[in-house]
Amino acid sequence: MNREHAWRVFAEEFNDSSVEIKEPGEMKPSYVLTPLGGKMNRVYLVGVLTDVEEMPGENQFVRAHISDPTGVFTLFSGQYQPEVTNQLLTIEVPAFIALVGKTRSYAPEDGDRVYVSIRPEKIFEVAADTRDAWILETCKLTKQRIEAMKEALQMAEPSEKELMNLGFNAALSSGVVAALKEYETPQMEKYPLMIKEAIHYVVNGPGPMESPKEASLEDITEAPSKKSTPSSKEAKKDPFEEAEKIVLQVIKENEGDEGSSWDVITEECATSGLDADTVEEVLNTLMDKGLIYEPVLGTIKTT
Amino acid sequence: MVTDDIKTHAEEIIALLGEQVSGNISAEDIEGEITKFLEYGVPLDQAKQTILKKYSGSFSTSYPAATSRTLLRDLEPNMRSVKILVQVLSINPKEIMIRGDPRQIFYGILGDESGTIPFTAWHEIPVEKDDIIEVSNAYTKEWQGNIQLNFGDRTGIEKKTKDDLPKEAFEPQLVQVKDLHNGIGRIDLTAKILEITEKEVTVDDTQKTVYSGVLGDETGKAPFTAWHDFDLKKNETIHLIGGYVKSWKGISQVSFDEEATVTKEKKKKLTVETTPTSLPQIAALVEHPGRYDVQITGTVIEIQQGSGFILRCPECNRVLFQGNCRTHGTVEGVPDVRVKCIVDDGTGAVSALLDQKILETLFHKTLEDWKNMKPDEVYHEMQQTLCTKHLQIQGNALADRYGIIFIVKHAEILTQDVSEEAAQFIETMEEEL
Repeated sequence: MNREHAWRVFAEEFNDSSVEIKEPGEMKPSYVLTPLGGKMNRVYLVGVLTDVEEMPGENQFVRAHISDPTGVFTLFSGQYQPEVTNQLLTIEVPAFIALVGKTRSYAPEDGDRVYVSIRPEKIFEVAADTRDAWILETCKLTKQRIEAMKEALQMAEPSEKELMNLGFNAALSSGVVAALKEYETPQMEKYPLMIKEAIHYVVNGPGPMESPKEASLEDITEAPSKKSTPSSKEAKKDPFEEAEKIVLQVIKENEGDEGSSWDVITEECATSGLDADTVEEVLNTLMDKGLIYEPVLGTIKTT
Repeated sequence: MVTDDIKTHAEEIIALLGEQVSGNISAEDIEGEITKFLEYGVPLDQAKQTILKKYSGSFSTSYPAATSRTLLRDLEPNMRSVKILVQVLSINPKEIMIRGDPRQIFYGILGDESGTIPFTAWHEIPVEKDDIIEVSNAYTKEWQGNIQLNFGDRTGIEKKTKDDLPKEAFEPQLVQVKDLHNGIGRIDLTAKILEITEKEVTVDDTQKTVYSGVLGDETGKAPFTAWHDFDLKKNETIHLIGGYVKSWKGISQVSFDEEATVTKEKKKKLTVETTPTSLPQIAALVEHPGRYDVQITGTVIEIQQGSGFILRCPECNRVLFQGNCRTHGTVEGVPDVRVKCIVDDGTGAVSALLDQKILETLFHKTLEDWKNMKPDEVYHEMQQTLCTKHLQIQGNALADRYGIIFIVKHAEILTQDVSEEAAQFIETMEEEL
């Protein structure tokens, strides 16, 4: 019996997963199947630990979040992992964390959604360069999944064998075939953009890339940036990128040690011509990128 | 359930089993068995199937015996009944314990014109080395990725002569080191002896000297064992005719005895490929575990239990547990240090074993330094230095029951220029995606 290896996956792809695969029989592992065909029982990830919260109840149980350039992973750790649970409670957030963990999925009875999370097995405090190396590696392995999926989509009858003949490994080939059965149509535009954004994060540092994805931001275009901001000197900048910079700047000016309250940010940004909805959207994006986090509900701090 | 119903089901089973069986087994026996299963809550269908399988298995009714010969090359795992015509290349007895009772079984290698296969006979068979035999009703299983042939209760053996097998069956195949794999048959190989050591072993209660080492040619390296003194010397090039390939934990090894011909090639100059095979992804090992002299890179994600400063038994080298050896009791332990860690590259994982020599180089420390540290400190240091780091390891990968064990011969913590590599990645991505 081989050890389940640890997949590298970005939060966006992982959180898009809505399928659990459980092999028949007792003591068989279960897997979270991602839309790109990652059949993941275990993952290894590096990101920013943004918050750790003790859940009410008799047994010690914590919920925590780890942010990467594409989104946020949710962790649950309890009494069966006392070492990791204690570690999580003692680490001062924000912190760069490397994590090995088991994938979990949960489907509430009254909903049609599946929630995926991670039960950590090991965590290590690391430096920023370990995170950058992980982003690069995760980009490469995600790209491989995209390529395998593209090949499979061109096959009349996608099969593991055919994918393996093309040089894809067995685990990925079987995952891709399973994903094609379980998911209606994989979004083949979305994930290449995701890894492009992620890799630019490594090269250019935090901040939006030059051609961000076409999100629903037409309304932002109308938001005039009347006020001169540090980065508005270049003429043809994307308006959303501008908005991100303004918001980030506002937070930095107001956060102090405690963080800046949501209301203050909204007010300050209004003077730069950004309406409340835009600010909220920008804050969400910045959180997904791991540039800011919410230490207390309603308070924002940069990482 | 009404007794009458059970009777009907028992008769049905008897009918299905056919005439051959019905004379030996009474309907009452079957009724009893069905009743018992039902008492234990086994569904009727399952009970019937189980009983049917039990009797048909020992009387070979449900799986008709194969009538035509299969070549060894064409055997697949889990074949129920195969007929083969082979030469016995080797056969050895082995004592095993079955439910607490000792039992003698036989194992060895069979060969035909298409290749060779390892076999196990669960009973004594009237067969000697070199015999040509026709085997019917043998069955196959898969064991550590290799097909294994089994002789059971219903297996029949008939002696044949050399003329019954085509003469290619006795001709060694001309191969290079890279072609060596389990089941290849007798080989004709020219290679250079790179390492050789003598070892005393006990075979069938007699002492024997074996010569084992590493040989190689321009396509790679492989371990070998010679069961006869051919006066082999390091750096000699030999021409070996009639050896065969054995697999140990998935690694192909060349094995030869006095029946092989070994000629020393004094004039022949052979360049040997000595760089290890570099595997781009650990997945390659998952699909084909057991590789000699390979190199992989991955992230260390866990330091496993049993790592750190240890004491070994001076007699058998086993790690002591609370100062005691499993076989030799309380002994004066020999200090040593080792690390067992998981190296994982996102496509596969191995359990890597790093020994004292490698650790001293990686940590710039000596055994004495570790001896004076608390176990917790040692563990913490190993975790600090290795975990989340990219480790390039070179050595032998073994297919083990618990996964892939990687015996590390050389290890290096890699430093990465991430922004340079990221820039390159962006370029390839612009082109491809």
